[in-house]
Formats: sequence, structure tokens, C-alpha cells
Amino acid sequence: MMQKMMRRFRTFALVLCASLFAALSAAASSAIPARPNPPRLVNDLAGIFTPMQTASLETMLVNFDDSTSNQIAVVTVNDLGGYEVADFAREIGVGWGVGSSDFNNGIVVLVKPKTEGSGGEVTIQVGYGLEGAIPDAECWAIIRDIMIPSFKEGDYFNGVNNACLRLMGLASGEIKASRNGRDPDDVAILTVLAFLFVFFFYLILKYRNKNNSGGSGSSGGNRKVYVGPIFGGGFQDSGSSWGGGFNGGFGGFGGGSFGGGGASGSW
Amino acid sequence: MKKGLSSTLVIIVILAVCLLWGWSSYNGLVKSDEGVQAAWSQVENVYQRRADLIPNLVATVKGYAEHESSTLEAVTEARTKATGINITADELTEDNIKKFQAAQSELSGALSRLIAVAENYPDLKASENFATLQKQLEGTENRIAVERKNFNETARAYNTKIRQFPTNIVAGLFNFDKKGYFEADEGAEKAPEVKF
Repeated sequence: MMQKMMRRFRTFALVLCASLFAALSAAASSAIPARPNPPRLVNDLAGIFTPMQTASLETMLVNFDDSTSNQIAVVTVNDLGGYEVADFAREIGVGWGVGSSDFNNGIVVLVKPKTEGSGGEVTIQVGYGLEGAIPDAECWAIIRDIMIPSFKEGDYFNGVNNACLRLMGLASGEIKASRNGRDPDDVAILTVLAFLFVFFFYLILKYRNKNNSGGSGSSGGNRKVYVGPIFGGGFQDSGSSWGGGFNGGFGGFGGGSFGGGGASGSW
Repeated sequence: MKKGLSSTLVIIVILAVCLLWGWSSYNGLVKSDEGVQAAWSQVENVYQRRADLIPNLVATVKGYAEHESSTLEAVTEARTKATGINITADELTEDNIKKFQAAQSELSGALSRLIAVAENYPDLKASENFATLQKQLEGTENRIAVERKNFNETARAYNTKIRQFPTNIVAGLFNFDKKGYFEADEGAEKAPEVKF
């Protein structure tokens, strides 16, 4: 009896330790910011842009994503949590899935602004698919000639904005897969599915009506209530996933991967 | 008579199930093995990329610091040694990978000594060519770190698969061997950092 209790206690302690360990390791990895929800391309966690600047950068990058499918994520943080700046940016790129999984055409621009106690650091990490269009030397040139001079004057927005313009110029030569070009297929599938649904429910209704022909009015009413939300749900779903692209908002990250291409600098 | 027939049937069914299971787990192992080989070729690519940068780097440093011939020679020698070790994808044993890693980290060491030496030559440090090469080297070291990690993860998944029951029976039957890993080495693989 005693032994059994001891054993139980030991299992309990083990489980406790395991969960504690899991919690600790989760806390350790939380230096990397979680993927933004709703998805955004510009994540000014350090607060170095004005809301206007953030919005204009976001619009520019979302338009670029819409027209070429290349995703440039701009992230600013005040603390790298002990990571190398390049590793930090790559973790973001892979963790959020910047770029599409077909092309791996994401770019992460990470800025850690200069503060009183620490130097400024910046990196551009390029997804596998864009390494040819944007070689490391080019990233370094952008950091050295465009970003750091602006950053030194405290002008973070122009540094980042001009760097993005240059990156967009380079990336658009490589991959030009318009987002709208892929949509018709999805829309077609959705339409077919919707028709099938309608047909299916029509059959069910018809069958039921036949079974209890002349049935009470109340049961007919119930059926309508039952069918209604399903259609409502279906249309709502399509609205939320496709509406993003049409309204000019960001459609979300695509699962791109990063292999360490890019460059970093400090000032 | 009837009893014999039904027991034969049972045996046939059991055999068929075993065959099907063996087939699918064999295919799973092949796929996993292919994954490891693909990851390995990525590792070789990025190490080759680094080796390709070196002649240019050596030439640039030579232009500014001809007195450092011993450091430069050490890099060239280590490069020759490292590029001389090629492991084909079906020989990814622990020993082979250890050898490969040893040669590559010797090159890493020689490279970081070269970078440290370069610190003493302001003209060299200021040259754009050197700065660009430096950044390319840095990016390549990052790529190496990524691909090594990726290889280790793929190889670990494969090794777990071939050891687990009952897949290990199939693995043993068809000689699916354990793959080696890269070990973390202290600081040698870190890209030498230069502040401007």
C-alpha cells in the first residue's frame, strides 16, 4: 500500500517536473515574438515609427505582396534576448513563415534601435528563393549605404523605407506571381462546393418532405432554421479568407523558409 | 478438411498483412533516407560555397598584408584538405562525418586567424572588397549553421525510425545504417565578427 502511494507520488513529481521544464523552455524561446494576429508585415515592437509611417510602410509592402507574392516583413525590437541579430531574424522568418512555401520568397528586415545601454543592430535575412536575386553583398550594400547612414541620424523610417524600396526592386525581378492570379482556381472550387452543398440539402429536404408529406408546419419551420446557419457560415468563411486580398489588407504569411542568406550590420 | 482450409486462409491473410506492412515501412525508410541525403547535399553545398570564397579572400588579404604568408598558407592548406574530403550520400557514417567536420573546423580556425590578422591592417579593413568578402563569409557561415542543424534533425528522425520496433526489423533486413551527426564545436563555427 505504502509502496503504491510512493510510486504514485513519484509519477506525480515526474509529471510536475516535466511540465515545469516545458513551461521553462517555452519561456526561453519567447524572446522571438509570436506571429502577429491579425497578420501584419510591419511589426514595430520597438516603437520607432509613427502610426502614419507604419501604415504607409504596411500599405507599400502589402501591395508588393499582392502584385509579386514576395513578402517583406519589417520587425523592430528593443531586445534581442541574447540572440545574434541574424539568428533572431531567421527565427522570425521561419517561425512566422514569411514568404510562400512554394517560392520561399520572404525577406525579414530586423532593426534593433540604438539605445543608451546598447548599440544599434540591423539585419536583412533573405529566403532561399530570393538568394539569387538578392545576394549577401547586395544586402550588405543596402545596410551600409542606405540604412546605417539614416539610422545614425535617428531617422529609422527613411532608412527602412528606402531599404524596402531597393529590396523590392531586386526581388521583383526574380519572382512575379500575382496573388490574384491564383485566386480563380480557389473561387471555382468554392463555387462547386457551394453548389454541391445546395444540391445535397435540396435532396435531403425533398426526401424528408416526401417521407412525411403533409406533415405539420412547425417541423418545416425547424428545417429552415437548421439549414440557414450552415449557408450563413459558408459565406462568412469565404468572406474572411478572400476578403483580405480584395480589401487591400495583408492576406497572411505563407510558410516560407530561410537558409541564412543575407547580411547584418551594427552602428 | 474444412479446418485445414480456414487455417490456411488465416495464414495467407496474416502473410499478406505482414507483406503490406513491410512494403509500406520499407518505402517510409527509403523516403526518410532520401531526406537525409538531400539534407547532406545542402550541407556540402554551403561548405563548398565557403571554399569558393576563400581564394578571393586570400588574394585580397595578400594585396595588403604580404608579410602574413604563413597565415595565408595555413588557410589555403586547410581549404585543400577540407575540399579533399567528400562523403557520398550513402556513406554518412559517424566516422566519416567526424572526419569531415574535423577538416572543416580546421579551416574555420585558419579563417578566423586570418580575419584576426586582418585587424592589424587598417587599409585592408577599409577596403570595400574585403568588407564585402567578409559579409559574404558571414552569410555563408550562417548558412552552414542552418544546414547543419537541418541535417542533424533529419538524420535524427531517420535514426529514430530505424531503431524503433517494429520498423527496425525491416531496417535490419535491408541494411539501413545509422547516420552520423554534426557535433556542436566550441566557437569554431561562429562567423568571425568584425565591427566597422
